[in-house]
Amino acid sequence: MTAQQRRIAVAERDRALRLHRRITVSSGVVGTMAVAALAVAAAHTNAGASSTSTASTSSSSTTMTSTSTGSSSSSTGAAGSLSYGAASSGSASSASTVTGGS
Amino acid sequence: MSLPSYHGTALGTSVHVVVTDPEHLDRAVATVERVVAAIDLACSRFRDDSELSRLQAGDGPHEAVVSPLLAQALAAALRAAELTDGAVDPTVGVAVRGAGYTVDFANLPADGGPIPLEVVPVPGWRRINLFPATRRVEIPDGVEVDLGATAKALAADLAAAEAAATMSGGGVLVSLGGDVAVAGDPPVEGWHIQIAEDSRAPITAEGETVAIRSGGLATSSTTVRRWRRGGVELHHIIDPATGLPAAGPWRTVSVVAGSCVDANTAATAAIVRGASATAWLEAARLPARLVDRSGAVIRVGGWPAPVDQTS
Repeated sequence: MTAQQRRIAVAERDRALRLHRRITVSSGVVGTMAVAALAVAAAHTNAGASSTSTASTSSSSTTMTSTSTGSSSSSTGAAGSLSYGAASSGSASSASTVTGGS
Repeated sequence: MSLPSYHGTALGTSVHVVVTDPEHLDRAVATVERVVAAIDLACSRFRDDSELSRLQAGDGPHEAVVSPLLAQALAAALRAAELTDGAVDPTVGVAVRGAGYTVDFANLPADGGPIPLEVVPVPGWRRINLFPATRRVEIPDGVEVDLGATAKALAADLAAAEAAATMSGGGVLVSLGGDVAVAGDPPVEGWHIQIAEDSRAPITAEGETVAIRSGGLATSSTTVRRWRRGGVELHHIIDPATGLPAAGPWRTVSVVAGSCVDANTAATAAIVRGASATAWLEAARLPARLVDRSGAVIRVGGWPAPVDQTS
């Protein structure tokens, strides 16, 4: 696949994703079925969206499914909480640096 | 014992690199400078040649496939927004400029004439579409992204991790304007970090100090990056609900977390959340130290009680 073809494939995939979102929002049943079908398709293709060597159709399916599982945009697929840290009492004489506003 | 260290400036703020092994200092500093320069070129809103500025140039909407680093910075900002219920929101670009923060802070006049200040909620982070797999980002018309709340802390995390990766043993501390990330093997007694309102303050014999062994410690404050317009005191931490500088009870919040980005996210969110921040930090099990407008200090989430440094 040429670079031009890859760009077209990516653009088509993203357009399809936007359409998919509208479908999912406007029709819960149809949207759910679409997501399920796409999930099956992706499971079969097992292709990451970064795999631009695949045909544009399968790339679209992969990206959509990736979105349906929460890895896109406004839903970043992040863990549900900020990571924990621990602090203990320190010694000013051993301080290496200062934290504060900047 | 004093550890080998380097002081410099970047991103309009101070850079401090500390290592446990003096042989690693030069390489660590070079790594930190490279990472910081890359973040600046990707994320700065004060540089016309930054990738973010080019992405948002002209009228929207804006769509593009962005670099891996900008995609990572955008993802970090969106994650911060998601995990703080929007208290830390990257769509504050228009609001922060509207508050008068229009140029790099070093060039921002401390005082000036009045400017219109209106309560206008920011567009909201959910309006940004980022497709991580393709690194495609879509920013609708009227939305301006500002990564100031997370990019510096992300730079500290990335710089510390990359610097540690270049070492054969030992550890490194990277502080960018008081946003501290540590990586590698810490000193035996941990990294000791003094807490202050201003990261430029000198280390003092009596200053409250904590020790961490991993992750990050960051402080957000309304006391340092301030300016005045028409007699009104303004600062850089925008409350997304009003589009104006946050007006809550806390002036400075320090947080320890598993990364500097998370620490800074929580610290900034606490200032925006105001009175409810202490319960939120406790629930999140994040050690935090909050200073209110009068200077009174509250410690929550396992933040260690201060010890008498003179005894």
